[in-house]
Amino acid sequence: MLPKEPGEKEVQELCAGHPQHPGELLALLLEIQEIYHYLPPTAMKEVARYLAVPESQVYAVATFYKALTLKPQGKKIIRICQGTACHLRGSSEVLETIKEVLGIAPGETTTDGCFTLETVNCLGACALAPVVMIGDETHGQMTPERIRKLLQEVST
Amino acid sequence: MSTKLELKVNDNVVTAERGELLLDVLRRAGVLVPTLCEHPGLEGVGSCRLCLVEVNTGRRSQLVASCLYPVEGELTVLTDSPRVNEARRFVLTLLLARYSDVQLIEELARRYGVKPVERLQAEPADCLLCLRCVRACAAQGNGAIATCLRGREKRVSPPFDEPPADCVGCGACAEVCPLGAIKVEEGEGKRRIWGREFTLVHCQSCGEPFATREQFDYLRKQPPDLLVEEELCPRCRKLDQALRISGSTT
Ligand code: SF4
Ligand code: FES
Ligand code: FES
Repeated sequence: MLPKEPGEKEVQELCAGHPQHPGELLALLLEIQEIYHYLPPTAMKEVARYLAVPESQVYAVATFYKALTLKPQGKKIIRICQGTACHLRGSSEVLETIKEVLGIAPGETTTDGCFTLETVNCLGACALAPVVMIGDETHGQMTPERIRKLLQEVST
Repeated sequence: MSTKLELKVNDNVVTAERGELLLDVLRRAGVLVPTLCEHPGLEGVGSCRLCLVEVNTGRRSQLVASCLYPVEGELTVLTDSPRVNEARRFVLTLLLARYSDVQLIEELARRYGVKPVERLQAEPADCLLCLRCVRACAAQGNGAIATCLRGREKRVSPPFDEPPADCVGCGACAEVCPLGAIKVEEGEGKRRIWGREFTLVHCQSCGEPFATREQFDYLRKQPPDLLVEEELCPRCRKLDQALRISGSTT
């Protein structure tokens, strides 16, 4: 299931935990992101109303930071490294396998809301290349076969 | 401390008020400084860097954006030195690479003898990101538009890329845009901008459409001294006032 749209009440309660000050904007957006894994438009509008900042300002901040996203994210984020070391050790084939198994391209989320696929440039673990992160866990020395098995494990 | 200062500008002596912006001083003295992002009614942001001039405080000499530089002491200012020209031409070279189809930029480039550089290939764009539109909208108290995203993707947009709820259709953004990048359409008693449609209000005297219904609604929410009682276009309002003053209201 995709993360649900928060109700008006829920966002109001979240807001109430912060002082009604424009400086709270980023903190509030981060908190919403943390809970819903993305920023639903209804929530952003409520934040604008609560802090009395223009909606345009909320949207500006929400689209500026990489840590904030406007698209619903899956429960687990799969980050596949496409950095130099991983690339040389065959990360492209690993990526192709993930795309095939999950049926999504980088930046997309599976229809069941379980996974979001992202590519990154170097995870700082080049010795383990090619590297894939599933949620908080790092998996090194990936091959098409191993990632296929891994995806099966985490899906069940 | 006296508030009057004497500046030396390209060999001439010019007086300035302490704290005045250098660009305003130069303009008053009739010195031509090219600008793009600056607009007299809006707070400066210094984003285009075209207004660079060289200032010397006696201790050191540096390039500053004159639209943001408050005059605080005696200064020597050069607006046409080799250093200024080099910097200005560099800025224009970059602008020309991206806005090669924009007439205003072409004209500026020609005026300063800047030619396109083959190896600089930039995606053409129609917005300078000078933020005049954003600042104008904020100055009106609406804040209906802002920039979104960042880096190369940065652009001006209404929130959520939807027709903006806070917009009153005043068209100030389009009015101040130096490149005419914001589209406003008017016809059949309507004004269309940012994907929204506004109903135009007709002057009660001459019948010309001159503002939107939403602009009046917005004004009515302001403190009473700003209240507009009669919906008269600026021309008819002046006429009305003139007639009242002369006492012949017939
Ligand atoms: S749309 Fe026009 S006024 Fe607004 S930032 Fe772009 S160039 Fe400047
Ligand atoms: S290149 Fe993949 S971890 Fe460094
Ligand atoms: S006019 Fe001064 S930086 Fe643009």
